[in-house]
Parts: sequence; C-alpha cells; structure tokens
Amino acid sequence: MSRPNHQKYSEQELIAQLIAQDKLALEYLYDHFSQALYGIILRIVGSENIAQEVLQDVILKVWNNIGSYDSKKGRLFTWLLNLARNQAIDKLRSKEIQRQIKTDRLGNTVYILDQAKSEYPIKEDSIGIKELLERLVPEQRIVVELVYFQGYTQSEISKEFDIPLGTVKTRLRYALIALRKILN
Amino acid sequence: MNIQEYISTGILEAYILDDLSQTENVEVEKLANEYPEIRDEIARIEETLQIIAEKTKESIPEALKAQILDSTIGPVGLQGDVEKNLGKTSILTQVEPVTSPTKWRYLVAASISLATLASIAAVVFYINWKEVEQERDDLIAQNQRLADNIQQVDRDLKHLSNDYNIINKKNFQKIALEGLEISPESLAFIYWNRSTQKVYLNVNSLPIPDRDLQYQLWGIIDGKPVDAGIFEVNLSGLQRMKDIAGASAFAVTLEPKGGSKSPTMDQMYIIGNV
Repeated sequence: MSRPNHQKYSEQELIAQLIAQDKLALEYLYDHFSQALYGIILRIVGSENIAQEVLQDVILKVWNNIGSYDSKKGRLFTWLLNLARNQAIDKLRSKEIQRQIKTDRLGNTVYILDQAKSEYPIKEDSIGIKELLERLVPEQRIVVELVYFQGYTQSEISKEFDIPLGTVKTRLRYALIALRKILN
Repeated sequence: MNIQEYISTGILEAYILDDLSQTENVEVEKLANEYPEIRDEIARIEETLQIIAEKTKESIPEALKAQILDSTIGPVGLQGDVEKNLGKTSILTQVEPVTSPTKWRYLVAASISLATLASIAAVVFYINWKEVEQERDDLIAQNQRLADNIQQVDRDLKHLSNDYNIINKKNFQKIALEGLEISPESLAFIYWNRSTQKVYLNVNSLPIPDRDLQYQLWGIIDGKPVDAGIFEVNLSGLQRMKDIAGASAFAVTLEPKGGSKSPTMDQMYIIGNV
C-alpha cells in the first residue's frame, strides 16, 4: 500500500477530526481507504462509471454520518466496508438491474473479475482475486464470491441456491479462516 | 453455552457483514460483552476482512479524488463564501459615502440585507435539498428491497400452494420413509398415487452427500427394487419422481452420481412400507 507522507492520525483521532468536519481528515480517509472500498464496490456493480458514483456517495455518507459510527461495535473499516457494500447493492437495485443478471454472471464470476482487473492495473503488492479464490474449495469460493464480491446477503444465497442458511454461514466462516491463513 | 460452537456457526461473520436481524444483533452484542473469546473472534474477522479488501483494492483515476472531495465538502465551501460576502457587505456599508442622500443609504443597506438573506437562504435550502435527495434515494432503495422481498415471498407461496394442490387429492397416499441405522435422524415423505402411478418426494432431512454421490429412490415391487429416479437434497418442496406401479415399499440409497442399476444395500438411508 502506498503510504502518503502525512500519516498522522490514529483511528480515534481520525474519527474525532471527521466528526469535527476537518477536510484534511476526510482527505486522509480517502487516501487510506478509498482503493480498498472501490475494489469492493467495483466487484459488486461491475462498471467503472457506476462504481465511481457509488464511491462518491459513500464518501458523502461518511462525511455526513460519521456521527452514527459506533466504535464499540467494531473498527472503522468494518463500518466503511458495510457502507460501501450496502450503497453498491442499493445502486444495483435502484438501477433496476435484475437479479437475473447477477445469476447469469455467476458462472463467469472469476472471468468478470479478471476483466475488471485488466482494466485497472493492480499494484504489485495486491494479490490477484482469481489467485486468491482459487485456493479455496469450490463451495467456500462461491459463498465468498457472492457475499463479499457480489453483495448477496447470506439469506439470499440460501434461498436462491437452495443451500441451508446454516451451511452458508459456516462455509463463509471457513472460507474466511482459510483466506486469513493465505494472506498471513 | 458452548462458545466455540456458537462461534463456529458463522454468526459472527454475518453480524460483521450487517446481515442479521435486530434481535440477533442484540444477542451477539450481549454475548460479546460477556465473553472475551467472542470479542477476540470478532476482531479477528474484522481484521481478515480489512486485509482481504486491502489486498484486492483497485486503483481509482487520480482526477476523481479532487472531484469527490470537493463535492463532498461542497456545502461547507458555500458557507465559507457566504461568510466572506457578509464580511464584504459590512465593509461596503461602512465605506458608503456619507455624502449620499439618506434615502439611498437606506435603499442600499436594505438591498444588501436582502441579498445576504437570500444567499443564506440559498445555502440553507441547498443543504436541506441535499438531505432530502439523500433520504429520497434511501427510500427508493428501501422500496426496491421490499418489492424484492415480496416477490420472493410470492414465489415461495406459489410453490407451496402448487405442492399443496398436488397432494391434497383423494388418491394420494402418504408414506413416511424413516432413517435406518446409517442415519437414524433422516426422514422423507412419498406421496404416491396408486391409480396414476405418480410419485412425489418431499425430503425432510437427509445428510448432504459428497459431490460425487447422489441419492436414488427405489420402489420395491414384488420384492425387487425398481429405480424411481435420483434427486438432490437441497431442493425444497415436492419433487416429481419416476412413476411406480404396485410398490410395497419405497427406499432411498446413496449411489455414485447419476444413479445405479441396482441399489447399494449397505448405503440404504431410509425406507418405508406402503
């Protein structure tokens, strides 16, 4: 990750400064988190233009709603991640992109992720998504792709693919444990 | 309660991804307060998600940064401008030459006040408008989600009422297939129409098989097993199987994918007599 030279905020300071509507804090947040959030958004909406719109909405929401972030419930990034994910999902739905499209995409997910990647050269220290997912067993991979990269809720997966909800939950859990090992 | 078991259900992942009902959220938070193991696990999962996101980041066109930051803090910028203007107007009123007729002084002062009020109002309206626009977007999205849910419920209901219409006829006989030693908890029901020979299967519980295996239903006719089709466990509701005439029992065995010509007897999971 490229670290800008003005690395000066702890997480608490950053949040306090954002609440105080400090522009520099917002810039710092953008520099540090926007690419990771953009990756999440882009994989859900699948279009560069829409992803950029969504990122803009997300940053605006952060700026306007930072007061509603509760550090007791989790780290800042989790809040950002969920904002990005929800905003991307809402965008997909408000654009009336039918679920069908998503389902059609399912078979080619990795292919599409590859395409998305070739349009955006990834920095050397990022790992290829395809490479990352290929190291999971298929039933875990599909759950991670759907939940984390395409914005399905776990109950939606359970319904649409006829997998019991409990199974979806445990698969995601073991997939994340496996990914943790790979990434460490 | 068994904390490790609770953690291994994957509920914490769902909690972190904001995928639980309000009641479940409250439960997780309560338990997290009580048990440090749960707090630690939540922190670990959050860290993993952040690492994955950072490792799979995508680069953004440079120009977008200024555009996004400017438009985000836009309203604040406007407010700043108004303050500057307010400063200017007060200077203007002071600088206004004393030689001007009194009437003009009042008029100028009045128009400046009006202009100032108008720009403040504009800012206030702009901020309100932005908020309302945001609320509107949120409501549209919410509405869409509700519509999706209703569609889903509608589909489920149609499915159920179809199933109900199939079996709620005079000639259908319901046969319970109960678990054998190999899997005592397993259970399924056969709905069989003797005269039309139609067979429907409703799986209540069967273990998910390995990927290269599949369950196969057999009708026992004159003591001999006859293939009644293979099926998936995941499907909810009724599944139409092959027609069977004159069966005295039904049984399910686990077979290599695609089914077998004759049942693998030591892999018989459930059976029920007619």
